[in-house]
Amino acid sequence: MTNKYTIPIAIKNEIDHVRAKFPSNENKPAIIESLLILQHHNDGFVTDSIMRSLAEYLSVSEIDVLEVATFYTMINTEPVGRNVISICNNVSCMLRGSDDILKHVEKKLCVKVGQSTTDKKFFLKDEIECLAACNGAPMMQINHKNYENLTLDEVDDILDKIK
Amino acid sequence: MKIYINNIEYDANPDETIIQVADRNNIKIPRFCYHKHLSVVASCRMCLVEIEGVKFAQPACSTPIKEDMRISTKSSKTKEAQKSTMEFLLINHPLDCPICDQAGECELQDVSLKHGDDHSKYLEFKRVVVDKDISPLISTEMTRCIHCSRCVRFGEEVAGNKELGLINRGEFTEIRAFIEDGVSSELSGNMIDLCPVGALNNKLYSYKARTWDLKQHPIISPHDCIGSNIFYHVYNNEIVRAIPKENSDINQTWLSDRDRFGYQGIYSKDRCYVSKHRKNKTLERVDSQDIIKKVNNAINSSLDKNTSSKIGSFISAQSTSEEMFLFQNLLRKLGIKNIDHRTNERDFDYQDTYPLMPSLGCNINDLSEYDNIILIGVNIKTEYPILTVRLNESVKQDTKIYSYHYFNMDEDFPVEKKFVMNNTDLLSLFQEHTLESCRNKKNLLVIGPNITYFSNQSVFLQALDKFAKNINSQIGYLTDFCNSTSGWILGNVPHRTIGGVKLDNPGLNATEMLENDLSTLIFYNLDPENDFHNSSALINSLQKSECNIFFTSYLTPIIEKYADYIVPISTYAESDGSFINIEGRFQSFNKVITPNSNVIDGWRALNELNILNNHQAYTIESIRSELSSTLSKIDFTSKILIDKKKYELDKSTKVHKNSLRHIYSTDQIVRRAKSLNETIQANNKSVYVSRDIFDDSENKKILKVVENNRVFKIDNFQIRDDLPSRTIVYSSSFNNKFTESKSTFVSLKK
Amino acid sequence: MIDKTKKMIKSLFLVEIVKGLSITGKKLFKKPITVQYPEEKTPQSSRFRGLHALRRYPNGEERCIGCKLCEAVCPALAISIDTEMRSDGTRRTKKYDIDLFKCVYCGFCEEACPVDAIVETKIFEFHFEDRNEKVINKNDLLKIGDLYEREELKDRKNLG
Repeated sequence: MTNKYTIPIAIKNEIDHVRAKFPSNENKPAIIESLLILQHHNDGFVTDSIMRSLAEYLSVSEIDVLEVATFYTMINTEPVGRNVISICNNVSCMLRGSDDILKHVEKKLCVKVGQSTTDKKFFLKDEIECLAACNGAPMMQINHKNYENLTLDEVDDILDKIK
Repeated sequence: MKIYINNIEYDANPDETIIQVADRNNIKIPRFCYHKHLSVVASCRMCLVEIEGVKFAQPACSTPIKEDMRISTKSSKTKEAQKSTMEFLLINHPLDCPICDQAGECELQDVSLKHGDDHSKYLEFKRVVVDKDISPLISTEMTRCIHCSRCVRFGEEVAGNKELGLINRGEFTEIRAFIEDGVSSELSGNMIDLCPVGALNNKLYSYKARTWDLKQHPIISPHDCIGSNIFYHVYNNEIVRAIPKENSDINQTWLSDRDRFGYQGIYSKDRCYVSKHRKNKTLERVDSQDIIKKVNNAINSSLDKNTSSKIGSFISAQSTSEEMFLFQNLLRKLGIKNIDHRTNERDFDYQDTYPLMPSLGCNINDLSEYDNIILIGVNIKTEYPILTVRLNESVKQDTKIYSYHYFNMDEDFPVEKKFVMNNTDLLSLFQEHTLESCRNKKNLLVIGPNITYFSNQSVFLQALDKFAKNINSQIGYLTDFCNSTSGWILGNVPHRTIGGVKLDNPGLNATEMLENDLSTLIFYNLDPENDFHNSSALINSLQKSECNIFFTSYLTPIIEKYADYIVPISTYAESDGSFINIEGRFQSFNKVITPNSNVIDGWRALNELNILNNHQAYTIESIRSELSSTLSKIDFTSKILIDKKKYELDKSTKVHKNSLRHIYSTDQIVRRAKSLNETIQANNKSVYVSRDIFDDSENKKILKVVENNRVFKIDNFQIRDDLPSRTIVYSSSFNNKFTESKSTFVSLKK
Repeated sequence: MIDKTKKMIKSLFLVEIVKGLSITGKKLFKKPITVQYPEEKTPQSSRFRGLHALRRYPNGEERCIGCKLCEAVCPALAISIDTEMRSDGTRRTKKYDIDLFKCVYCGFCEEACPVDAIVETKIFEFHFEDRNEKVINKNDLLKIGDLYEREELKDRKNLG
């Protein structure tokens, strides 16, 4: 049994803000965004105890939270790398050569899509859909920051600069 | 509105879906995820049907009907759609029907035989899902799961406690509980029925028989006063499993785990199979033909020696109505008036003004018509699990539920407000209390069995009567045993005879019988360890009396120590019987299994005693006709009639000690059901102490409780902050271990 | 008239008897087909249905999984089975009895078996000294299976 996780007041406020968007008797819609918030504050993944605490806080059943957390690939239930790399592979980027970039990154970091590097520095995210930057295709996003019009050399530069 | 199915016209209501109309008219549409009591998800796609003018086949379960809709359940398009769906469902389903307990009653088997193809185009590996140990009652084989999500929806919508969920997605979808948790719902067994395949199955029935070997016998649940209808499935004269018998008035299609798995108690190791008689301080075996004569001689010689007022008799309220009828018939004809079934109670001042019998005051079906249901000292989740379903339904129809209890208990339905107070505070609250939100509405006050254990029960009932009048509420009761109603109505109380007719010279009640040093005691179907309010008073009177006669199904240490005559009688499933449920519904059933040849049918034993005393002999039919003629004269809607006696409020500052009815210790059969007592919810076996009476800082590990000048040491207890002040609450499965009476005042010793 | 004459000649010269005896006479000089049982035995088909046996897998594990299909299909109700969960969690029989007096050797049990556990061997010579022995139990069936496994495999090969 993992230790009980207490949600910090600051995060509680954020969750309350999310909850206010939905009808007062409906707590389930707030799960997904709350999980993203909690994940953001916990090195990019949520643990069992975090899910338990969230379920208690939102007064929904624990399994509801687990269902959401395991359904969406944007929520991780296992530890991942610190820096999240998302390489878009939708049509625009694909036509401009995102497949090569993805292969290059995989080779450089020695991981496959959906895996983290062994030193937990990078996490190459799975199932990336269009990130709304088709004008700058091919593009990738690292820690919510966009890098556009990429070439393989540029990718090397960007990755090397990140700690 | 009219619709056409297969070119035949049918009437339909505008808000119905196709499958509802088809089901009503016995038109078969295959389905997996649809269930009439659950929400519609249309996830299995098995019920696809062709609708004229619609390009693709549509799911019948989620398509609402339209005027003049033309539906075909047999066209080639429908069949093609169903065949393709079936092929997809079978892709990952293992071909292990020969070892699957569901085989023979499996919906997937039936549907694939009728609608499926005889070969599959799929040649790759099938997926395998790791099994989970979710409960001691449910076995899992998750590879067989077809993700219909019935079990998930059941937990969420019916049981009110969602414990299983659909985890992951696509190829990796699986049904699972949260992390290492299992299923702890009191209604979990229903998932076994709901599962259309063999993914969730009955653990107790595992590999015991095949479905086609079983014989089905209807019976009534003996574990609570709701009277759920059950089918027992029997193989080689052994009950191997229970499934619900649909009764839309009582249990619908559901069954609580207690009713489903409680039969295990029949096969307990301490079953009593031999007649015994004490000679020279040792119990000796007696031929089962002779024991009735010996018992008769004992009773008659005692009658010769003493007056009839020196004989006391107790009958369990779990006995069948036939047994109760014959029991009081025998004793009253012998002139014995000391009869009582209320062995768990202590205060009987209320009895003269009590209604003819405890009754819910309404039909179970009508619970949702009330605006407010006020629960007094009852925990529906553990005591009447099947009512959780009804109250969940009611809450959906805007019924508000209030709860008054001396312990903060979880419920699986939303409770508007909980009042947790100790007995004295509750009592003074009821004197003045007016629940403002319940004014001028249709209210039902439900009094639970815990109140009847109080040492000042009569005061409580009077206060509750006042409270009910204040908020203009009806009063209903829930009783602790399945047949307490019969106990009252069939004259197994000292002050009333059959039909509730008042007696001029009442006999002694249960407490008085134990205090009055009687010479002969007769116990029928009782477990002396657990079924008495005060076990030390019982042992005391057993020691003093000259002759103790036990009619029992189980041999307990007290019986072995003090009994002079032991008559092994049948349990409910081994003899014909009837129960009257809390609505006043008289339900009969026939023998399901034949017991060991030495075991005597309960009613036959009593009938034989009647014959030996030259009283009228009965058959099961003649008893039942007599009972139904008695019952037809009785108004089951009778109300509480407490008269205006003045009661003093007990303002003492002593500690309240109350028992908490342990979910699987409520009666002697379920107490012996092994698997039920291995579940998570049965683990609740602690003693709870409120923080204000136990000083944590002293770091003491032992609590010394003084009750009736006896000191009990408790080492295994928990301090709870949510307990009301000055309260000790213990689980009733502990009864007799460290305590004398079920509900009383105690003091603490430093 | 001519027919009558022919019939008279036939009956006068015992033509039919000579014809019949000629067959007997021919057989006198041919190799007899009578088998001197029990010294000699007729050949048996690979499909012969004789005494039952329960087979095992090559690793020694019994094949029978207690599905009771043979019991269900048996037209003579000769088979009775009780199943249980063995300690390793698998479904096994704790009783597998065949009443050989009831059995009509139809072979349905063999056909119904999903794991080829119950088979009918070529054994057709068996007797009982006690009436109780007509019920053959699981242990005996397994023993027969062990003894005749090789023949069984050969028969299966012959059947393709």
